[in-house]
Amino acid sequence: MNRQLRLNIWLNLVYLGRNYLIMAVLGIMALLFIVILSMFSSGGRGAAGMFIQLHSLVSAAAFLAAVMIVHNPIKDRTVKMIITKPCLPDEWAAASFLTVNLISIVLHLIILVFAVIMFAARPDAMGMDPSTYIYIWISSVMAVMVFSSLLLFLTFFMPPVPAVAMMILLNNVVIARIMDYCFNYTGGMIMGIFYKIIGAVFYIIYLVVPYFSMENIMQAGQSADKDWPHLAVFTAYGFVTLGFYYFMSVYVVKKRNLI
Amino acid sequence: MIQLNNVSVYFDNLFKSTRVKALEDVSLTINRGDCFAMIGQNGAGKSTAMYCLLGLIKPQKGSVTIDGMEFELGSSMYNNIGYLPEEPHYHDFLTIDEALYFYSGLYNKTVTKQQRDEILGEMGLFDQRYTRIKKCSKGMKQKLGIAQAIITEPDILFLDEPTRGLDPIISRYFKQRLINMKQKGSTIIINSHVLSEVESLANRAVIIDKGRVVLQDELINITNSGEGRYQVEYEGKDVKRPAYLKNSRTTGALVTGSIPEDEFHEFMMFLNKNKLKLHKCLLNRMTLEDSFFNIIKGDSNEPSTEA
Repeated sequence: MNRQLRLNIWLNLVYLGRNYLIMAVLGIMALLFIVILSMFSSGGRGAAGMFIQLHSLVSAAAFLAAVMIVHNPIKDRTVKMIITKPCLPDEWAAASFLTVNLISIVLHLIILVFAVIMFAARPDAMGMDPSTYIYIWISSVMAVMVFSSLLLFLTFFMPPVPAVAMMILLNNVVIARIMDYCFNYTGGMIMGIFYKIIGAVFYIIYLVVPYFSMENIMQAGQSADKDWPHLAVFTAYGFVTLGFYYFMSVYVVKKRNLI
Repeated sequence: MIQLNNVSVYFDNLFKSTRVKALEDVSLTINRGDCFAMIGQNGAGKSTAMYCLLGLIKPQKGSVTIDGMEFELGSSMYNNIGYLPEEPHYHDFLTIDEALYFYSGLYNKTVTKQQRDEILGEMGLFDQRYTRIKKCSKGMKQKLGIAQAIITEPDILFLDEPTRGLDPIISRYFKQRLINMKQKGSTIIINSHVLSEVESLANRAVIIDKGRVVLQDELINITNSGEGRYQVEYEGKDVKRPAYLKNSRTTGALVTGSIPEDEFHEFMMFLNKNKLKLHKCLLNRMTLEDSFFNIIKGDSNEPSTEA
């Protein structure tokens, strides 16, 4: 890893490490670990729900990092101090994407290690088999990667609140409904063509905007027939999405006024 | 050689309904080893010109080159560039030492902890090196800015209002450091309102007004663009005064007044011829400030906007 990339990741981690919101999320995670441990020690069953909550918290921590990591340097103009040194905007942007995914993977790994210990100690208390958990774990890692990539990209040109609002509005269910309405329009011919064009535009957005629902992932993981090929495709889609939003972000950062 | 070739920069609003001219057809040439000053009023376009030179703004028209190559932000060309921004846009969650570690680390040069400690000592920041930037005073931030700009001893140094908020001791030290860097061949580009500071450092300057270059020349030519005058005082109230003696008045037996610098020889001949005794003779040369006022004076007060 080159020096500039490494230093920017270090900078991002220091920033997040000194951020109270991130620390609060990590604090709640630590509390949940204690709750899970107490459940196990008291002989309780069905810790799967707790693990799912842990995954949700990891997602929240990663999304929070994604929301803050890019917007603040642009808003505070501190990025000016980086790109007027031998550090390409590409490297700065890459460091942001890598930091968020690094946080996500490290936190996921902590949960995985914890789960492995639990499976070894009390497999019956977990409420699911190891393969189900592995399925959920991989899905969760990839979902955070996909979702945080879009969030990061949005924060390159808009403040966090509109970015999050857009994330909520631009979900696949809403887009699918708009597409459905546009493609099934039965009015006049000219308006029909107009709606088809609008529908096509939303179809492109539908392809680009990732879909994220931790609940659905859990349901898929806990179903009897885990769709492993689908997970493989989703994993590939995750990496493609990451690359796509990274290059889009680099394009934006090179175009926008950073003074 | 760093060049701005016929550069025009405009700032549009979101819907491009209004356009503010920041620079218009500006051409600058900065030779290697120059200490080049950019002078102008607030909003004249100095900072915009510096942003163009740094590659932070891509001009709508014209080009910016360094040794014939176009700037690309963050490229290896920046390995030899130091930049002190006007506003302290530093990562304020870092400590002073961490910030210096980070900024100097981005260069492809090795900066040791000892070097960091040395420059922090020189800047009077060593004892506060573990203080977070957000808790630093404006002067401390400026010192940090200077430290990060010069720690790698860059070949080209961009300084935007360098002595703003600095105490006189560090200010003098910094000036000496710049003189040393200049002697070693560094190119220094200064944007400053403190004309006395510019005068003591720069060898070339440009005066920018309302986004246009008014004058670009050697500093010595700019300060000599208006002639100097001698303030004289001599005994000889009864002798007819020469025509070139201006603002003359008589106090007792003494005559005081001012003469143009190039009439000095003639004036000495006049004193000799009339056997008059000279009491006082002081040469008042034009300062950069005088020249700046003379050049800018007469321009309309039409506002222009600077980024």
